[in-house]
Amino acid sequence: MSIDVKKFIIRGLIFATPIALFFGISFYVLFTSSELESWDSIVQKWMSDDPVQVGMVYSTLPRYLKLASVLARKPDIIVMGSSRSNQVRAGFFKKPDKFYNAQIGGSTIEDYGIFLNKIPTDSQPKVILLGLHPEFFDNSCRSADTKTIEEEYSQKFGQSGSFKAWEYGYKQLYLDYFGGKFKLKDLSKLGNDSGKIGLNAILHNAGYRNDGSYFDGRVMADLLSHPRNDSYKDTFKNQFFSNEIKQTCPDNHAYAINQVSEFLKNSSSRNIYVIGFMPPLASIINKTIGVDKKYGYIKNLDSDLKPLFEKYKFGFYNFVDFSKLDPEDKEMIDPTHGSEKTMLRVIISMLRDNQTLKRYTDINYLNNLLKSSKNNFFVFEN
Amino acid sequence: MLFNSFEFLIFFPIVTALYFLLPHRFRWFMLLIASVIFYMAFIPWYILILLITILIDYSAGIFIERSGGKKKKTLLVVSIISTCTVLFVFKYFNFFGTNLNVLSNFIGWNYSIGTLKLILPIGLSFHTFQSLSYVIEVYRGHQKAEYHFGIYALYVMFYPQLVAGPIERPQNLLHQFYEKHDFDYKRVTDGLKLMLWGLFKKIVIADRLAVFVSQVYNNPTGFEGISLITATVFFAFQIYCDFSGYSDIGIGAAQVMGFKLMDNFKRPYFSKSISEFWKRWHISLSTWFRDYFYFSIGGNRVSIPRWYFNLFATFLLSGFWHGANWTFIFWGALHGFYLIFGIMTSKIRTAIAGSIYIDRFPAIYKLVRVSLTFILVSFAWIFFRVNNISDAFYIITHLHIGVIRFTINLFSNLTAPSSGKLAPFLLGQHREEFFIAIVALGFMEFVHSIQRHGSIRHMLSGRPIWFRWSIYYILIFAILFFGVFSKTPFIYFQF
Repeated sequence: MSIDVKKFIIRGLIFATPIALFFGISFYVLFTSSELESWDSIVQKWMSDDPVQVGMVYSTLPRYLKLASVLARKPDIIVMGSSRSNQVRAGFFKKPDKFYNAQIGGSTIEDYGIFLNKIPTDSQPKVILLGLHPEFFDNSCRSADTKTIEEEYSQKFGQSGSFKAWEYGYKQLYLDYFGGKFKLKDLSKLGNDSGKIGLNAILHNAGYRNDGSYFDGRVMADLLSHPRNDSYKDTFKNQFFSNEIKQTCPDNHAYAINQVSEFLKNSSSRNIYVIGFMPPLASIINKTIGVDKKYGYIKNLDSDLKPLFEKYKFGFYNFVDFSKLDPEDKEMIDPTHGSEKTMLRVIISMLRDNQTLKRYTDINYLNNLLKSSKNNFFVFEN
Repeated sequence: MLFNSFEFLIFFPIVTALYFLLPHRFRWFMLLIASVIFYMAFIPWYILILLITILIDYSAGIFIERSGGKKKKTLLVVSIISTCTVLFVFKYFNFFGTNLNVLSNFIGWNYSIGTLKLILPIGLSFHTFQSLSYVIEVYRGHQKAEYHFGIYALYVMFYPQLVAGPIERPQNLLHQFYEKHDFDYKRVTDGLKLMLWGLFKKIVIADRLAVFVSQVYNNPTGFEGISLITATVFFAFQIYCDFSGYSDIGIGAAQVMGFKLMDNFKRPYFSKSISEFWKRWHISLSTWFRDYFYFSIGGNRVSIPRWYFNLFATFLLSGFWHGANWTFIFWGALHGFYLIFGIMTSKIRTAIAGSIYIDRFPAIYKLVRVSLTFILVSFAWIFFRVNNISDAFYIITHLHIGVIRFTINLFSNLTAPSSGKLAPFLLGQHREEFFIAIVALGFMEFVHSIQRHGSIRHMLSGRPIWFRWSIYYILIFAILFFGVFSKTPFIYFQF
């Protein structure tokens, strides 16, 4: 070996050490936090009886995972919708293993059609609970890039998420650390709990449960330890109205209505029964927007959507005004997200006149669940 | 395979290590196989198209050398036509077909020609021109025909310059495949440094600017004034960083193995005139057109009108080389016009500079000339980047809108919060992204200004190791933290 080669190797190794450390540390954290867990393995773990919480930070997982889970589980009844539908639990139904909450946080109106088309008829559900988030009917909230959505569902199918997570996560991890999103001491929690997949699950007890519903441990712990006083009204208003762009809508929402119409037509042709519901808004917000013309479209949605569902003899329920069931918003997590208990009330309300839904659950059982709940937010221990 | 891909990160060290580990007599073969793998990573079966070009010009070279008189010329013409036919079919057939259809409809002929559904082989224009330069040089007697088929194939396919140049001349490259290159620490590390610099330009600057530019150029009618100007200036830097970044990586990769490829860029945006710009931008292509086309049609040793015609025709052809689209033809024509206008007004401009005494302040005079050249070049880039001619005319006619109002607003209340003021520059992106792009551009221009005084690698070599390594770490971590890893293909791949 020539002197030049030796010099190159020695200097190269010394030079590469900080870079190797840079990658090594991030690899260690991502690996031990299961951020590099393959997606197919996650789907399998979710199907086991052991509770598994998936809160990954460095992968755009939900679209793929939710669809892959539906295909693997072949549930009879699924929930589709945004984060406002994420508290519908498998325990609400007679056969929990035949239910799956396929809601996707940050989803768009286009998700419905794409998601349904990806499910082959032999894996399709019998009933879809379709959460119709008012934002979906707001032009400014619409995704312009259906191609990306399609890719998130299909291109990564069958591939391991590991490399994608690594590609994105190795630097983002450092940026998050320097941004104060976690501390070094937090990393001592890594590898302690095999039921936690992903840094969010490990560090913040936040992630998707086996049944597809979502649990955010940080938020819930805070809500439980700080009982609400009247100041919550201002907080809710601030939270809702500060997101001005996404909460106001031009009158023209024909595109979104058409998307729903197409979805219902498709579902009907595939003999899938759809129950549409507009998730609850906090009563204080509903009262406020009731006098603001800008939000008139939320009221109009009811008359726009109802005929679409009636056409196919599907069910449709509007829970935007939830003031009769929760007048003081005790059970709302925030202005737009109802808790597990809120969603139990939603299901009970629908059960009163929906014969199809009655095949999958029992109103007395649900009422008992409601009565036995130990606090304002949860029905189940886990 | 993209230079900015994970695959190349694996490919490059393996190929380089094998190159130095193997005995000299096997190296050409290993490099040829590596180049085939590199090319086949795009569309595998297109290797056959490359093989056809190689076979045509390999045979042509030998036959041309053995022939004389008219036969020699006939062989050259046959070889050029055969090689260009491949280029025509894949790159220009649909363009001609579409325009012929439009023309026939216009004059009322019931004539229609179909379109071919073909994907353009990556870098086709580059290796076609490299092949052509070989047969022309053999014809001119400047280069002996290459009898070793493997070496000739490697000349066309050498992976560091296979898909986006530099377009090499046989006199410079062919003999290097016969030479034994030992491992030389300085040369290897110099090559690696050049690759690092190229990656920085591509991943940190070009791909970041691409996000801003695409936002505007994919939907120009949604923008006007300052936003259109910003996007156009950003594109000027995007294309420079993208293409010169590719060249640096290619030249650096070749240098690591001991090969010297020709320079392709010499800080072109510091040019004081359009003619100087073309001596510093895509040098391997501009010299190709000069040596094999411009000189062949008479160059400047003809009457003045003919000289202007020769210049214009060369740039028109150069535009057409870049793409089968009227936008590229306009771009080439505009540069041809710039050059001719520059020659025609040279004396007048010098007189004006003298009359206002600006030539007595060389630094200011140079700054004015460099700025004007940059503005002209950037203006021409509009045609290069737009998706169609109507977009170009929209941009040109809306560049000025609101600029004066914006400038007055900007300076009228300097204490006002800056976020609103910056909005037209941000092009819908986050402010942080904008600042990263500006800082990275500033850093590059700082390096360029140092390069005016000589090679920066040479300057660095005299500095202590901690200083040099700090610079390299800054570049590496800038790439890791601020790089855009979307595997954006290099712009010139499409040519």
